[in-house]
Amino acid sequence: MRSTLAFTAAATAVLFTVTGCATSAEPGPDGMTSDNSFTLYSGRAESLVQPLIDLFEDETGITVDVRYGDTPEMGALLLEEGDRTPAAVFLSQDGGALGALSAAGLFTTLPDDVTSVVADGFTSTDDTWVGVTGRARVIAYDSEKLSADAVPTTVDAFALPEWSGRLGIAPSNASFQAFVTAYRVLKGEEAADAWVAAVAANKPQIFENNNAVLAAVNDGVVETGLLNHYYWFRQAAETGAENMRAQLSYPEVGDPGAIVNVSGAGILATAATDADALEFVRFLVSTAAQEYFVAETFEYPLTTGMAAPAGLPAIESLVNPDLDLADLESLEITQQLLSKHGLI
Amino acid sequence: MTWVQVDDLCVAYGETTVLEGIDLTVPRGSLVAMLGPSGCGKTTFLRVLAGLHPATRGSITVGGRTLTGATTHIPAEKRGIGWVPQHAALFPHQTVAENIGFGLPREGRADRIAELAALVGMTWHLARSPAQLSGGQAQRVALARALAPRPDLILLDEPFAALDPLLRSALRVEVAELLRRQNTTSVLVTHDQEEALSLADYVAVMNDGRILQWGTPAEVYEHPATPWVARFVGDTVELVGRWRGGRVECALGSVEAETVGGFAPAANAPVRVLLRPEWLELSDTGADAVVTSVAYAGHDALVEMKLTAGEHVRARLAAPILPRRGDLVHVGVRYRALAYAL
Amino acid sequence: MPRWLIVLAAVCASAAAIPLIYLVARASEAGFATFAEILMRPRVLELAVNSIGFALAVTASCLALGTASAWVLSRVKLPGARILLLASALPLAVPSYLAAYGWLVWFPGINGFWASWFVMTVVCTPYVTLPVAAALRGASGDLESVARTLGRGPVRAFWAATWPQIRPAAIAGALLVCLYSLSDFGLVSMLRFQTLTWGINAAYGASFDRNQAALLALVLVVLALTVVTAERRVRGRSLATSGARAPLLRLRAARVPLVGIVLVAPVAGVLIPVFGLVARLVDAAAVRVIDPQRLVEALIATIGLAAAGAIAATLIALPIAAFAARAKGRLVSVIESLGYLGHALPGIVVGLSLVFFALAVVPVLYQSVIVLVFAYAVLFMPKAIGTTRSGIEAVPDSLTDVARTLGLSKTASWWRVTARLALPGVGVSALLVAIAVMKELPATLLLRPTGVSTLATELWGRTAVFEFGAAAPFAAALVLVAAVPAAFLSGIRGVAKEDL
Repeated sequence: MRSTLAFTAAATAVLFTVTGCATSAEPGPDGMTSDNSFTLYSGRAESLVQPLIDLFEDETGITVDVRYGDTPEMGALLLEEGDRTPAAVFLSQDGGALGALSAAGLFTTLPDDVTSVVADGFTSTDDTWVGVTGRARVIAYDSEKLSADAVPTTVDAFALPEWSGRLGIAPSNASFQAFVTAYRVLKGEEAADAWVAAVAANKPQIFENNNAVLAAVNDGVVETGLLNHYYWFRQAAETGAENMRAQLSYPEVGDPGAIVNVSGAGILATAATDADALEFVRFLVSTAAQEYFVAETFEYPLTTGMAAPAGLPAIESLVNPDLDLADLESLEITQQLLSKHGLI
Repeated sequence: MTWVQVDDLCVAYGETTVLEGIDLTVPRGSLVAMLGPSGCGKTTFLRVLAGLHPATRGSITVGGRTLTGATTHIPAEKRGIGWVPQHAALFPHQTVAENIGFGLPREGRADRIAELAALVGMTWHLARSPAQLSGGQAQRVALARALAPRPDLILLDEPFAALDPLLRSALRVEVAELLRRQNTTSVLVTHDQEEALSLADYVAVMNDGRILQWGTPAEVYEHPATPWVARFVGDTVELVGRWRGGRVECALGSVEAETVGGFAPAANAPVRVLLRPEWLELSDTGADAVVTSVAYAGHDALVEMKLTAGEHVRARLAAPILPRRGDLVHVGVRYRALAYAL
Repeated sequence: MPRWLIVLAAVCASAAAIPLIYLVARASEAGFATFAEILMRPRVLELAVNSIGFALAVTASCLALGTASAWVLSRVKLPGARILLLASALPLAVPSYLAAYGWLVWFPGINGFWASWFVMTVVCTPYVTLPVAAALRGASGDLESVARTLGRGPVRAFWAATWPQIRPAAIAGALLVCLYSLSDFGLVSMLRFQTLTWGINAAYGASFDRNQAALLALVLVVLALTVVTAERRVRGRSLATSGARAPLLRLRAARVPLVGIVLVAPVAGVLIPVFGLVARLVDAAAVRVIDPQRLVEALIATIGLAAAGAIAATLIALPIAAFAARAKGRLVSVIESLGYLGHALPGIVVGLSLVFFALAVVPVLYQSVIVLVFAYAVLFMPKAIGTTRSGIEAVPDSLTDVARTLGLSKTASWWRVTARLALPGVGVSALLVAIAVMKELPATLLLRPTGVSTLATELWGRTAVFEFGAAAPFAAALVLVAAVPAAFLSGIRGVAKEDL
């Protein structure tokens, strides 16, 4: 108890010293200001990103006040706060939330040197946010019930009656909706409608999020599930890869099931001149940060020229550069489609 | 004619025995009082009679029907025994009329409610809620409720204890009268000896889960089976004396006496001599004594005296002619004394 | 009824109306046409039907199980009665999402209505068991005996004579269960039963459509107000009875099934889920070092927030409860019903409404502890209103009359007599709120000061990324610390040994 108090007091003192020194900063020649601290809203979990933030703080001396939450809640919070937000940067788990904030005009435009390092299809189309990491859509399967070659290589298979009751999905989750959007863009509205209708008629097991889909496959509750690859690696890191009953299968090249969802970051319009915030976003697409994600979170790096984590298919084989993962209007059409067939 | 027959009734909670070998016979239409100090088991006895509590052993028969036996336990709702608990226990969410009609079949219910309300004098309060009643009124309703289904037996658990003294004596006379008029057989539990003696046809004195004595009020008062019963049922004057075959020699002189329950002392054997204060009188021939205190009660007085031999005795003397403190008097005995083993 | 009390009650109730104002503002942005369109969707109808069915089923089963457990606890002589009483309160300490998670460890396949119904029932049963057991201890057993002698069987006698005495307590508990079942998201999302809260979260999460979320939440509000109004209708007043407590039954033969009834909730609501968590902890290959400092900090923050939330909620609930206890009429219904609103809404809605409110009214306090504590008060005020109200109702008017004849003003006699005597009820309220605050997650995530963590947020942060090993100490600390007020609530301190 006493040591906690002492620690808190010391930390506060340090904080005051830091901010005290920093407030004297003048606007730089580019109109940017720095007070050596900013607030980050993170829709990604603390244990995944805090080590990276610590690294950033150590390197730059900038203090990052982080507020953790689920991406949907953080997105809703930022929309509610509007121009009164204390946040300077939003780090999002998925493109949908970034698109919603961008559409609401809450983001400032990022400079070219930040956005240009990430290839099209993995980042915003209007430079309001930048993709940071990629997660491949995969098919998780119960290795005790299915052999690897019995797993479909295309999501179209799940429309067939033989998969009735054997698929787990999280249709209200952004990652699933992004995938359906990709399906629509790649195969056309009619095909997408037919696919969703057939899958819905197949009575899939509905889950709330990717975690729950994976847990169900791993526990033998459902034979297959559609989700982002990296959840599997997260759980394998916790329970040991050799103990994983669920295994992953990657849909064939060109299949709409083989898209990449991105996590990304944007700077709030209220922090348009915050040099610290910009430095952080720039740091996220730096080689150091990208290597961190590859090594620690098993995600695809998005900056050009970086290699995928070991054991994963090359990102080029999964990508579809024609997609805009944050296109709200397109997302709305997807939701209407899912709603029409009773999946959400 | 025997109506209620209880044989060898025992109730035990694990190791603790609450009732032990209770035998009781209640003639039809009579009112029996179970008299005992609190904790003697008399309320448990009532609850067992009512079927609210199981018996460990023994049998209960009412009107020839075995309610509790070796293999029988008729549940409370099938016994046809009415119960009036200490605090009336009226259903607070029901009116007086609904309370009285609680145990009645739908058919003829209204008439019977009106009949009983008239019987207990509550006709004008039928629509009231129990919260609006006085203590005495609540007890009348509770009695009416218990009587309504024409039970074979009515059990009254200290029904007057919570009432103020004036109301208590008025209501108990009224209730006893009402029960007799209905020719209802009733068992009344009380720790108030005056109540038991004045109301009941028979009194059962209980202590420690046993019936110590059973008899008419006069038998219990004038022939108490033990000194404990004597003391519990009324006031006593106790002396030590020697048995002289039909008389005892004691500080009051040679007094006519009898023994109770087959006690047969040898001649000259020391015995406990027991008298009631009202059995003493002031007489010219009695033992010499000095009056030490006088407790005046209007109709009589309890006069405490010190005999020349040193013992203290109390006499209940009729007012208004009374000695004063310090007076020299002679104390005589006007009724035969009782002799018990020392 | 002093006028200031009415005003104060109205002011306090308006705090609870903040989420409603927010929802109406958001919903009206969408426009009536959208509103009608969304309401007509078969999906919305399906979710609403699911919510209603779920809430009713859970309420009914909690009433039955809770009343039965309370009856056994207060009427039957049992070995280890005090431990059973304590155990019956413990499910309160387990957050619903944790209970669902623990069950999924053992039975990963369970899902849908029946699974959600069962787990929700066992975690909510103490809301009925505890007040009913207390009411039964205070109830006259003579009434039931009289009913028996007048021809009613044991069950019918209980129904006719004892149920009216305990009904207000049982119904008040059932109301909390019903509102909680309507507003819960954690459990139904894990056990995959889609209710309105599921729809609300999906609206926020995938489409960022706050207006649609608001419309769905308004449907929930209507359902909740219906429930609260119905409760006011059927509740009735507690009727004073005097008389001996029913003697404890010695049902040696039936002991095992009877103890079984009492143990359903603690075993299914505490033991099975907690062992599930332990099993996952043991499974974890990557053993992580527990960070004791973070654990202690989160523990201190949790306890501090719980205490502050409990005080704030009871203070705000007190005028409403005092008013509702002594007055009747439309105004009372409106004020009391408003007070219950917060409990029927998912935490995310209340959280966002207070973001909206704080930024508009007191931007200085935004993301401060003050707004967070206020949010707890809005969310959990209903838990305080019911018990405080019955506490005040139980104080006889004659006592305040006596106080006034002794020269005290109306206000002074209310404060020195009524409030003082109602204190145990207020204490129970505070404990109920404290437990709820400890377990609260969505509003805490939205409103906490940046950098402050509670046990619940730490737990969430770790389970979200499969770090069960690291999450377990926080889960254990949460259940343990919430078990303390739960133990007080069980009333074992107030019940003498010989009474059990």
